[in-house]
This record gives sequence, C-alpha cells and structure tokens, in this order.
Amino acid sequence: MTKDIKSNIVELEKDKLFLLQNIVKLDGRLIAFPPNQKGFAPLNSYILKEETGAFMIDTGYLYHKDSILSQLSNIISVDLPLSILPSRVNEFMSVGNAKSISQQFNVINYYLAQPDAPDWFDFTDTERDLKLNSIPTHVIGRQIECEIGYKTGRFIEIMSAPLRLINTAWVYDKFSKTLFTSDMFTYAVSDNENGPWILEEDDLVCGIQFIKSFMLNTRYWWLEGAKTRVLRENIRRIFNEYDITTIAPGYGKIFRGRELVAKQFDKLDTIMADFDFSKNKAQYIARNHLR
Amino acid sequence: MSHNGLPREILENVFWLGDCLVQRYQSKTYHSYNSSYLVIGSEAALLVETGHPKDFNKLHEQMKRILDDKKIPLKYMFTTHQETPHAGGIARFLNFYPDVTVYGDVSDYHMAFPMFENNFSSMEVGDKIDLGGVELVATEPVVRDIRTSLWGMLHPHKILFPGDGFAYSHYHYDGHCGKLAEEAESLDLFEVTSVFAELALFWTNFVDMSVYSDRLIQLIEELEIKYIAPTHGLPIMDIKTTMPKVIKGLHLPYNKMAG
Repeated sequence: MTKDIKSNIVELEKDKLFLLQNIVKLDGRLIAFPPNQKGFAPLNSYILKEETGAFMIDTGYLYHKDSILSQLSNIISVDLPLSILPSRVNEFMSVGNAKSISQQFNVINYYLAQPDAPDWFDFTDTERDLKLNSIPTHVIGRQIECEIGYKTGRFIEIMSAPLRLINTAWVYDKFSKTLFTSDMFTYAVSDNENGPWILEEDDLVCGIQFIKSFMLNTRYWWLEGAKTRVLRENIRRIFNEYDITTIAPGYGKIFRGRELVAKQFDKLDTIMADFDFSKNKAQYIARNHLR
Repeated sequence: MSHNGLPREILENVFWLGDCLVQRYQSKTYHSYNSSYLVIGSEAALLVETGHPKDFNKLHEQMKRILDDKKIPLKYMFTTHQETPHAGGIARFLNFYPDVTVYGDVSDYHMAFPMFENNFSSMEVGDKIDLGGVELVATEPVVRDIRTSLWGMLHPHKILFPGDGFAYSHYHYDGHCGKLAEEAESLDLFEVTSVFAELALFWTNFVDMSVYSDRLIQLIEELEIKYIAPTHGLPIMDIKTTMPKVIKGLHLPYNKMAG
C-alpha cells in the first residue's frame, strides 16, 4: 500500500523558496520508481515566492490534495498572484492538483509545453470548470524566461529537459542557484520514513550502479546502447552555463552544496558514457525486465 | 457523425471514438487523435483508452449513442498507460459509471483517482477480459513511453490496441480525419510517423529502433494480428501495406540524429 506517511514544508531560502514534501512508502505501485524499490520517498512541489507573486512547480497527486492545499496556504495568501508549471504535463504527479489550486488561489498563468493548459488537467469532476480557460497558458518551447512577481528582477529560466522520456521541463532559479530537474536526479530514497530528505554530502547508497539500475528500471530502459553523446553535451551545457548549488528534483531527496551537485552531474555523465552505443549494443527491453 | 468523422465502426462491434488534437511543428499544422475504442460483446462493453481530458464530453456522447443502440452495458475500461491523453478520462467516466472496472497496469491510479481506488484491477501480459464472445488479452507493449505500458489484443477480431505504438498525425486539410490509414491516400506515413516520434517519443531519437521494430514485427506474426487500432494514428486495416511505412518513419529520427 502506498501510504501517506507525513508532509513537510521546508524553507530552502528564507521567504523565497519553499519545498512542499509529501512522503510515501514505496510499494511498487508508482510509475516513477522501480517496481522493486522499497523504502520511502518524498514527492516534491516547489514555491518560488516574492512579495508580488509566486510560482509553483508541480502540483502533486490528487491523493495529496488536502495536504498540498494546506501547505500552500501556509506559504502564500489566496490573493497572491500565482503561476503554475506542471513539469511533466502528461503525468498525474505533476498536474493532479492544478485544478483545485486554480480554484482556491489567484492563479494568473500556466506554463506548459502545450497551449490551453486546463485541457490537460481538468479531468476529475463530472463537468469541467470552464472559468479556468480564461487563465493564459504560456507555451514553453525550447526555453523561456519568467519573472517571479511584478518588477522584482527575479527571473527564472524554463527549459525543455535535456534528458527526458516524455515532455518535461527543467527550471533554473538564479536567485537561489537552484536547478529544478523534474524526473532527473530522483534516485535518492530512504529506508527511514523520517528521511533525512536533504542531502548535503554524498549518500553511499547513490552509487553509480544503483543510479544506473534506478534509471534503467524506470524511465530510461532505452538508454543502454543509445547514442548518448548529444544528450551528454546538452546536460553538460546546463551544468556549465548555470551556477547550481541545489538540485531540486520532482521526487526524491534534494542535493545541496556545489560539490555535491557537481558529483551528481559527474555520475550522470559517467553513466551516460557507459550506456553509449560505442560500449553497449542496443537490445530490445521488454516490460518488467529489471536490471 | 461529427466533423472529425467519428464515431466509426471499423470492425463489427468495434467502434473508433474520439477527437483530433491540433499540433503545430515547423510552421505546419498537424492533427492527431487521442482515440478510444468501444468494443461490444454479448454480455458487456469495454472502452479501450479513456481519451484526452478535453475530449470527454464528445467521447461520452459518442459512446452513449452506441451503448443505447446496442443495449449492452459498459462494464470495463482498459488503458494502455498512465499518461493523461490515455487515462485522463478515467474519473470523469467513473463519475457516470461507478460500477465499471478499470483494467490494465493500474500503477499510479490509486494516487491519481483515490476516490475510485476500488475500481482498479491490475493485469499482466496474458490476462483476459471476457465480454461474452469477445476477449481482450493484455499484450506485450513493444514501443512505449511509460515503463508500465500494456497493449491489448481483441479475440477473435485479432485487432491490436498498441497505445503509443503506431503513433502518427494526419492532414486535416486533406480530409484525413476519421479515415483509415489506407483511405488517407495523400498521407505521407513516413513523414508523419517520424515527426510524431521525434516530438513525442524522445527516446526514439537516440536508439537504433531496429531492435524494437524487429520485435514488433515478430509480435504481430506471433499473435496473428490482422488489424491495428492505435491511440494517436489512424486505424490500420492492411498491415502488410501500411506497417512498413510506419516502421520506416519510426527509424527516421535516429537516422537523422546519427547523420
């Protein structure tokens, strides 16, 4: 049984960046984790806040609706202009509470890979809430810039994820030096329901073999034997271009500290190099083939 | 029949339902389907895929008309995977049909639709749903974009429901909406399959798809599939003629990337 263990609000940057966590016990029934993965993991949403507006990344599963709404109301007032970005528009974990939040808070914008955002998340009630259609959707494309609040000078960059399975957005917040990575760097889970959920030094569990296996058994079954050079270049470009001190994934533990961030990118690069077709022959991978 | 040509009975008691989604790429406008298929047995009806969230009212209206006419109750739904264009209609249907069981790999649904947790029933490859004279068999998903995908095959029709497999758009301006693949004569299947793969199946840009297309061909032969009813592409009624073009298109993104 996937069970809601507890929820946490973590202030990652005072008054400016908040992490909303809902912890789940892993039982093989979440598509984001390997079916044989045990332990506990946080499902993460983020609020970037200024006095004149806020920006939310991912809205969580409907299962966590009450928790998410309560967490959000602890951070922002219902009249503060709020923008929403579901980092994976096709996935329930990203879009599950976009409708409820839009109905209860002052949502002024959606950011999405597709136009007409409510078409993608208004699917729980007998009838649709057509009022949501008046909220504009900004189509992300390859990369766009967005200001948090009004004339605050705090800009974030929303970009298409350099490594992805489905349509996925990454976000960089220059103010907090945080890279929000949606479904990448999501492998840090815990045996303990109390975490810790923020890593500031390397976790021995997250070794290269573990990460490889996590990736192959979730979204990246196809990577072994793929041409990974372009993917590696695109990932490396992001690491080189941005000053990153925090990796904030859509689920799993947060990585904090420049050195730890660099290590995660190094590990990913090593793994991608190992997966490359020059070292592995591409093979057909059937459903439920665990490696 | 609506402007998009649906619903349409593509085989006896197998109805193609849904609506088009407009997508733009490199200043061209493409239409693609987020199709559902309604199968009528002697005892029960089954809906394969629950449609894109935007299409629910149209889809429901199409389905109701057929069920009323056939006087067979909707008892089952089957989804190929957990993405919203395939499973986004689950809760809206269950609001109207609370006794329906949703089959498939049902991972995530207890979190996405907790109010309907008891309506979900897990399937694995080989498991069957009996509609009375017609069976849906869960089948290996060869081309997929979520690890939990499952395909379905209908007995005795030998029609395959491959979800995101055989995904391609069509030309609205050439009147392709509601047509079978073989009827859409001006449709460049190679082009539309490669564009869809490049955009929606990111991984196909980086993987030599011959290992997947070889397995696909093998599966079609093993299961003696005669027809293919994809979620995004037009239904394929002549596999021998049409499938090679789709497979060629599936290979293009990787070949382009490889130079």
